[in-house]
Amino acid sequence: MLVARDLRKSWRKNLAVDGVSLQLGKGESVGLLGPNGAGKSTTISMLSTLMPPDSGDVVFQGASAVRNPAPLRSALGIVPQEIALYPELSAQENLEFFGGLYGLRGARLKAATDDALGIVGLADRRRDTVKSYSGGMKRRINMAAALLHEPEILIMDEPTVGIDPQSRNHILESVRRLNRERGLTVLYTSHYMEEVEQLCDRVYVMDAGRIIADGTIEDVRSVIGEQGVILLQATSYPGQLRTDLERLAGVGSVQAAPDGLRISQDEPVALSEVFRVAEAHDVSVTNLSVQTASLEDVFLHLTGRTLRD
Amino acid sequence: MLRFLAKDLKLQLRDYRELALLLLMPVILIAVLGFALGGFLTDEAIELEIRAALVVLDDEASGREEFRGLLLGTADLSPAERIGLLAASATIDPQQLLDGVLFSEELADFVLVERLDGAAASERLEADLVQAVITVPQGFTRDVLAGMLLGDRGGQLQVALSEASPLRASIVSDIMEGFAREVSYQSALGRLVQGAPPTPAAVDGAVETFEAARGVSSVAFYTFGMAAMFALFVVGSISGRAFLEKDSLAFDRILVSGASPVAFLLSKTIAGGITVVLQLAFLFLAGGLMLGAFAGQPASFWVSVTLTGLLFGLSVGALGALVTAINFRQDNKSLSDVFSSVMVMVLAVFGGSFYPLEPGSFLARIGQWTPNGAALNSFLAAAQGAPLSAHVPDFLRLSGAGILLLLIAFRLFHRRGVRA
Repeated sequence: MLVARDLRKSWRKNLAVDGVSLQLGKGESVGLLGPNGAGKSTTISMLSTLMPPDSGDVVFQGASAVRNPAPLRSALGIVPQEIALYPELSAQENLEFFGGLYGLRGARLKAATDDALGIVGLADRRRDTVKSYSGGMKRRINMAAALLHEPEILIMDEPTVGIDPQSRNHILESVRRLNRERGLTVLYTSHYMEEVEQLCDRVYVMDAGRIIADGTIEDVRSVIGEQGVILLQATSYPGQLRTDLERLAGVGSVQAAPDGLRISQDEPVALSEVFRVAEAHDVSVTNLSVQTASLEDVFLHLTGRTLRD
Repeated sequence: MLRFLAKDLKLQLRDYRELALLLLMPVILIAVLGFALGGFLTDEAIELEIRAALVVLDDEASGREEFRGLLLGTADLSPAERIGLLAASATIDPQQLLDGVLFSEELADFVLVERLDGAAASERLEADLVQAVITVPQGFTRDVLAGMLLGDRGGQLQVALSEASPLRASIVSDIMEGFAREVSYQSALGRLVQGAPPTPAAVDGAVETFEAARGVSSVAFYTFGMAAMFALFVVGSISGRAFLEKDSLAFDRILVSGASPVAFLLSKTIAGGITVVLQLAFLFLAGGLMLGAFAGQPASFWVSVTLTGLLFGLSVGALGALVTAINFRQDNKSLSDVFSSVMVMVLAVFGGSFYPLEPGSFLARIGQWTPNGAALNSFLAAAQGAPLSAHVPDFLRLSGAGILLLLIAFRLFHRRGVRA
């Protein structure tokens, strides 16, 4: 349905996006994961026809959207990273304005506004100005504005940054429902890997402007083996400890994460061996467990950095 | 387009801090400046001061000699008639008649006339240091005497008027026409001022014509001055808010909807223009009703003020569009901030919002090319009773600036609707 082919974009001399290719099938929910500065927003801007690529192409339904953006634009709903609304206007006024830009008038505009407000659960606050909303409500109405013209593809750029768990769950649930019940194709970017794991069928992992892994969630997880990840939590983490752990047989990599050291396994590693190395460094171990590999672990394994770095 | 405009106007009206700046602040300043500084500027009113140059190319003695020759060459006169007409001519001094008007006590307070040679007068006219050059041509004495005593065509004065100060120039023209009518009435002189046929039946006299130019009270002056200055704040307001649309990515959402970026920018122009017109209407009503700034002004004054306001709105709206376009290219709104904090004040000084500018001065010459300066000039001319034709140069400057700024703005704006 929507294909990006070898997209490249530079800002002055910095290569922000370096040969990104991806595709969205009809009705798919696809995640685009990566830390800040990975090139996700630039990629999304090119996919949305807001920014021409230096090279490469965006193809929508077989035709270049770079040369003729109109068909893709009419099929696209975007939820930008910022609250792309007018704070001084009410939710209803905002939706009527953006709906009007899509040619909706009269009863159709009213129905679309009611539907969008219903999806995000803000029908009873429609007359309040957006500036009076909480952060989570602003995010929800930001999403509603992208749904007015019943788009085929919804591109969401970090739609849950800095909001309360209730609004976050509401947004995730709404997207899931739109995807399953209405067949909406979703491209969801985030650096919250648990959101992508909950929501998406497939995922692209980006770093430094390139796609470093892609496939189904299971495919991507398998990058670091099927043994799972050992989490070592201790009172301290001396530098030599990490080096010695990496020398253990079967260990793929040892990465420092916010919650401790995460040890990926190429072959099964005995927990007692890990414990022994820790004790040898006079480190008091508070927790040692084996966890299913997450997308965060995949990213850590591939780049040595966390998604939130 | 209408949706953009409705949205832009709604946002403007709901920005209460901005409204206070655009509406309340100038009213306070008009009251303070008008009453506190009114006496400092002039006694009661800000009057026009007009400077004119008088170039005399005529030689009176040879003119009289030539007239004597004409008398002798006129076959149908008897000797007695010749003697009588010669005696009568000795009592008529055309140049003195003109001096009597130009250097009269009635005009001395308003019109400063200096005698210059032709080249110096032209230079000063070019620099707008004088608003008119009145040239007494060679043979003027002979022609006037022949016209008065022999019924010939009469003499012609040449009057060159300044384009830079149309109101003042038009007043000089009025004076000369009045002078022509006066002399014509008294002596059937015929056409005296080139290109301005006299109407013998309407003898208003030069001084009466000049008095038709009313003074402008200090409250009226500051109502116009502050309105012209504070209208410029609309530029920063409109362009700053437009940049927030880009910054919040609402503009991206607009582009993805397929809406035209040209309509987006045009809406900024029109919204800016409407805001200025509404702002001027509010300030003039406040100045008129609360401070009595425009008491007794005729309908023609309001017509001129309305036309000036509309064209001023166009030029300010276009300036807002230009600053918007530059902000979008620079990807910041520093130009809007600089405009509101520095450039408004600079333009207000050059445009003469704080005190009446000396005609022909450096500030006045620069100021007439600023939108606020041209608008203020036109407002003041309207208050002084200038005819609509006297506003044409300011109208041309305002509309020309508006169109030019708009063309540059659209050129700079991203026409394809994509980011750079």
